[in-house]
Amino acid sequence: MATFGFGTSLLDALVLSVVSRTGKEGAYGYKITQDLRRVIDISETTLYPVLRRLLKDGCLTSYNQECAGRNRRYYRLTALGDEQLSRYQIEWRDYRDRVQNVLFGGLENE
Amino acid sequence: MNKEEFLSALDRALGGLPPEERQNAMQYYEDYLEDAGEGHEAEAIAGLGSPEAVAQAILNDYRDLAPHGGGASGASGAPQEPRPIKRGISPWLLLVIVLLAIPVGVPLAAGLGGALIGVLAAVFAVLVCLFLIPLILCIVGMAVLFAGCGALFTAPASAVLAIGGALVCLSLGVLSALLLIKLCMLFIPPVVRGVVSLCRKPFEKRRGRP
Repeated sequence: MATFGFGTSLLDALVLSVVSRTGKEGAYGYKITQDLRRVIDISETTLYPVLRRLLKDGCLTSYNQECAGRNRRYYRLTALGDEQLSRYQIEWRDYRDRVQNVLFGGLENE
Repeated sequence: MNKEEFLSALDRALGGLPPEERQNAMQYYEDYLEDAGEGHEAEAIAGLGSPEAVAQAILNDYRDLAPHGGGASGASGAPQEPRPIKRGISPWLLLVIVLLAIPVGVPLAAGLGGALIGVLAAVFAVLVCLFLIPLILCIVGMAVLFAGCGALFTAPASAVLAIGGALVCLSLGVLSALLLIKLCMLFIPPVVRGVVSLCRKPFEKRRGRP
């Protein structure tokens, strides 16, 4: 799989969408990493700072839930996170179309 | 490196963080390794890399984010506050330097002042001599000329010799006077201009500042 540059916003967008897919219950760190690694080749180390930033920005919220005798931290999308994700989706679609127009000479999008 | 070793090394490396941030990060990585499961523990630790590198990424991110974080991280201001102390020299150190400079500085200044006065005096003396030479030559020439004229009939041979010497003396005096006048015309205007501009400089600087 060829890799293209991964900016912060694209990583944020992917994390938001992976978390949003887990719904009300939310997702835990290891699972988010595994889901992301199916798509992009990020190191395991990269995720925590991204989660932390999204928490600080108010796009995610976290809570602890008991699981197999210990507390596990879950991450959930906030309303703001949901909005941000929709914005990222629109922006990505626009970006993708423009890239494709150049790469495939406009054939794909007519 | 097993899980416990990794986590304790990470905890140590995160020492610079505020306790809340540190605990959040620790919980994330504890969770992460727990969730990886017994079977994948070694693999997960290998994937994370060294605890120091993990900590560095967290610390870097914390530093980038802290100024925008606002009220949520009140402790973030603390590490930045001691920095301004390093600016400038402490007044006590300055005082000590000034006191130490006095025994060296005062004689040095006095010596330089004396040397300057000496040089000025020498220049003045040379200038006075330059003016005196033609004056003396002319006066002596005139005196000998008159004396020679007076003695022309009593001792003609000596008188003619004296008159010749006096004329040579006079002509040398006139020549050196002309030379001096020429030199004055060449050097005095630029010297005066230089001195005037030198004197004016401090006032101009003061005027230049609003």
